[in-house]
Amino acid sequence: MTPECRNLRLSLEAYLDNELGVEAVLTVEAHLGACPDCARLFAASRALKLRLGEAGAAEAETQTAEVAELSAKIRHALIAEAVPETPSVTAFSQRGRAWVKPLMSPDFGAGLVAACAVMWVASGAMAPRGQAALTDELVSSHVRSLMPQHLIDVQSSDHHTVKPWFAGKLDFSPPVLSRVGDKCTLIGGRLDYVAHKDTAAMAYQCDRHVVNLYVQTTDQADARPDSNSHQGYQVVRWRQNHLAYFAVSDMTAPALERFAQVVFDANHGGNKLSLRTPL
Amino acid sequence: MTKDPPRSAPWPTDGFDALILPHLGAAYRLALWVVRDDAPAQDIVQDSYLKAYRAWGRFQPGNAKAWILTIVRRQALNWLRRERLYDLVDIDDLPARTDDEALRQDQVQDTVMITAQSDASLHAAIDRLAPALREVILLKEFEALSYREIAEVLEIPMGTVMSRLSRAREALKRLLMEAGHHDT
Repeated sequence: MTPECRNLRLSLEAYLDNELGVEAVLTVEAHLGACPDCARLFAASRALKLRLGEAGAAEAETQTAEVAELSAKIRHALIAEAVPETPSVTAFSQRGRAWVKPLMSPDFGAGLVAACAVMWVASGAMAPRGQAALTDELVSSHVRSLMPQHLIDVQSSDHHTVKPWFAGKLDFSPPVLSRVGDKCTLIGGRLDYVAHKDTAAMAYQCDRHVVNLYVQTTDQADARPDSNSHQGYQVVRWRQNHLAYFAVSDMTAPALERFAQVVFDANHGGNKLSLRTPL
Repeated sequence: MTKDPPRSAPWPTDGFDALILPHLGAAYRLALWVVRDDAPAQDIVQDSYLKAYRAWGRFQPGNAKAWILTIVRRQALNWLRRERLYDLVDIDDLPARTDDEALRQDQVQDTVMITAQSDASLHAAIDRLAPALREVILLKEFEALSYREIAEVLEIPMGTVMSRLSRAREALKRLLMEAGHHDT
C-alpha cells in the first residue's frame, strides 16, 4: 500500500459509481493497472455493488403489491385533501390516524382508487346524465393508469413502434401521433377496456401533465368535440370516421381542447372544428 | 405551469401525480429501512406525500425523486425521535479511524465470496450497519441516486457522502466476511 493508494481511495469509490471526470478516470485506471492490491479491492467492491443492485431489485419486486396498495391509499388521502368542501370525504381528511387504519385492510386495495374517483366525480354531478357513467369509467381508467407501472404497455415516443403494436391486438387501427403540438410527446400505448369495448390508450406527456387519449370503434355518426370538466379532470370527446376519441387529463380545459384540436386536424387535414377555445 | 394551485384545487394538480407518485416504491423502501416496521413506514410515506402535496406549489422544477425522498427521510427520523428509537449517531463526528491501513489489509477482498452471497445475507448485513451508513448504501445501491442527489436527501456535503459510502462498503464487506466465517 503506497501513499498513492491512500490518496486514490475515495476516487476508487467515485470511479465505481461513475462519478469521476475523464481525467480522474484515466488516473484511476492507470493506478488499477499497476497496483494489484487496489485492483483486488476494486474487484471486490464492484462485486459487492453488483450483488447489492440485484438484491435491491429483488426487494423492490417483492414489494409490488404493498406499493400498489399504498399508492391507492395515498391517492385517496390526496383526493380527500384536495376536496375538503365535499362532506363525504371531509370526514376522512380530518387529522389523526383514525382514517388511515381502516384503509390498512387488504380489500381496500387497488379498487379503492377507482371507487373514490367515481365518488368524487359523482359529487361534482356536472356531466349530462347519459355521459356520466362513461366519464366515470374514463376518469377511473385515467387515475388507474397513473399508478406505478400502469401507464404504458409499449414504451415508445415513435408512432412507428406504437401503431404496429396495436395492430395485432385490436380489430381497428388507431391513428397514432408521435407529437401533438409543441408540448405533448407520445410516451407509449396500452390496451384498455372502456364501456365494454377494446380500447387503444395512448399516453402523452405534456409538460408536467399526462394525457390519456382513448380510441375505440363506434357506429354512431361523427360528432363535434364536447368538453366536460370534473373537478379538475378534463374529458374531451369526439367521433371521427367511426372512431370515438376521449382525451382525459388534469390539464386546463383550453389546453386539453387544443390537444384535441391538433389530433382532430391531423386525422382530417384542414377540416377545422369549432372548439370552445379557438387555437 | 408552475402556478401555486388554489387551496381548493382538485387533485391531482399540475403534475404531482406524474412526477412524484412514481417514486412511491423508493419512498416506501427508504421509510421501511429507516424505521424497520411496515405499518409506521406506510404511515410515514402517506404523511410525507400529503406534506409534499401541500408544498407542491413551491417545488422548483428539478429532482423530484430527491425532493420526495428528503421529505420521507425527515418524517421517518421524526418518527424515530417521537418513538425514542432515534439512534442515528453522527458518525462523521467520531474520530477518524487510525487503523485504516490494517483495515484494508485484512478486509474481505474475495470477489467470489461476495458474489455468492444470498439476498438474505446481504439484507442481514445491511441491517447490522449503523443507520447513517445503511441509508447511504440504500440510496446508492438500491435506488441508484447520484452523489449529488444523496447529498440533497441526507442534507450533507458531497464529500461526506463519499466518505460515508466508502466506510459503508468497507463495513459491509467485513460483516459479510464475519458471517461467512460463522457459517463455516
